[in-house]
Amino acid sequence: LKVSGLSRSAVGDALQSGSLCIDIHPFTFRLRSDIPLLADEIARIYGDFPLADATGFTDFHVEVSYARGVRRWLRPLARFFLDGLPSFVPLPAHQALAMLEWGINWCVAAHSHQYLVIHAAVVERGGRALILPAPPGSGKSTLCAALINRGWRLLSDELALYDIGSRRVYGMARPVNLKNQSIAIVHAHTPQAVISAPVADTSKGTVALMKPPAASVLRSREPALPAWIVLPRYQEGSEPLLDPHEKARTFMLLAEQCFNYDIHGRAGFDAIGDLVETCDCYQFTYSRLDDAERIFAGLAAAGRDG
Amino acid sequence: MVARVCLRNPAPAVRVFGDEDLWVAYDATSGDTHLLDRVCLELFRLLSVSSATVDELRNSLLLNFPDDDPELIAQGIDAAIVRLERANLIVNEFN
Repeated sequence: LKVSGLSRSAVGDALQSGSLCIDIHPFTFRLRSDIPLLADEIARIYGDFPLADATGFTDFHVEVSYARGVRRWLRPLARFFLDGLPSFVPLPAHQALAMLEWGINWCVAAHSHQYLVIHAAVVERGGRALILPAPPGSGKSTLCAALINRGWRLLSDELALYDIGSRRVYGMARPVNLKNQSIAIVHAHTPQAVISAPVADTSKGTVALMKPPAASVLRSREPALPAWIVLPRYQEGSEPLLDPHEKARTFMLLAEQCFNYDIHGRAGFDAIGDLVETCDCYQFTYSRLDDAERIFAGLAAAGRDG
Repeated sequence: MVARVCLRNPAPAVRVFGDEDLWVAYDATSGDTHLLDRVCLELFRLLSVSSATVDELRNSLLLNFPDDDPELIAQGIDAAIVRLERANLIVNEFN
C-alpha cells in the first residue's frame, strides 16, 4: 500500500498517532506530527512511497510538531524531534515541511555510516549514475529536477549513498528541493510537475519540494553504477561548457562534500579513490537547462555506444 | 651531521590518477587527506625506498631529469619539501 492509498484524513490520523511509517529505501521512517498542513503536503509529495509496517522496525522516529506553550496560539513554531529528543532550533510552523525534509537529511547524513554519504544529486540512465556533487547555489537541484523530467531516473537531489562494499550508489528518490528562482524555472520547464506550496522566509529563502516521479520511487531499491561525476556551475548567460576535471581535484571535492568521510578513515579514502577512478569527471558550466539535457543525453549515449 | 628526511608513515595510502599532475595522500595518523603535486610525488617515491638528505633528493631528481634547469629543479624540490613538511607527511629522521 502506498501513502496515496490513504485518505487525507487517514494520513492526518496516522501522523497524529505516530503510526505513519514510510519506506524510503533503504530506510524506514516513522513520522509523527500534529500540524495539519504537514499531513496535506506529505499526502501530496510522498504519495508514491510505500507504507511500511507500523508494527515493525523503523530506522528513524521523526516528529515535527508544534512547540508547546501559549506561543502556539500567537506565533506558532514547529520543533523537530528524533527518537523523542528535540533537535535544531524551532522554526515558524509554516516551515514544517522544509523542517521535516532538512531533518530527514540530517538523520541520514549523521547516522548512516554503512554508506559514504555525499552531498550530491544523483540521476541514472541505462543503469549508470551521473553524480552531481556541489556546494549550495551551484544549481544542482534545478539541474536534477530538469533531468528527471526528461528521462533520467531520480536517485537523489541531495544525498548520494555510496555503498562501499558493492561500489554502487543509492539515493532514496525523495522529493527535490527547489529554492527561490528555481521554483519558477522548474515549473516553466515542466508545467505538470507537482510542487508543494512555496514556503517563504526560510534560512534558504523561499523553498518548495517537487514530487519525485512515480517511476523513480518504484525503482528506489535499484542501485546504479557510478559512471560520471560532473561538477555543475550555473553562470548566467554562459554557453554550455563540459570540460574534463582532474580526478585528484574531484577526489578532494567529493571528500569535502562527504558527511562521513572522516569516520570511514582509510576505507573512505579507498572508496572515494575507486569512485573517482571508475568515473569520467567533468566540470559543467551552463545557463540553460535544455543545453544540460542535450549534453548529458550525449554523455549517456556515448557511454552506451562505447 | 646532515639531517636526513624520511616519510613519517612508512606505508601511506596514496592514489595517483593516470598521468595527472595532482595526486592524493591519506595520513592514517591524523586522518587528513592531502592534494599534492608531481614534484611531491617524485620525492614521496624516493623516500618510500629510503630516507635521504635534501642533497640526495636533489641529485636523484637531477639524474631523472637531466635536460631540465638544475636551479629550477632545486627550487622545486625545496618548495615541495616544505609542502610535504606542512602536510606532516615527512619528518627529519632524528626527530
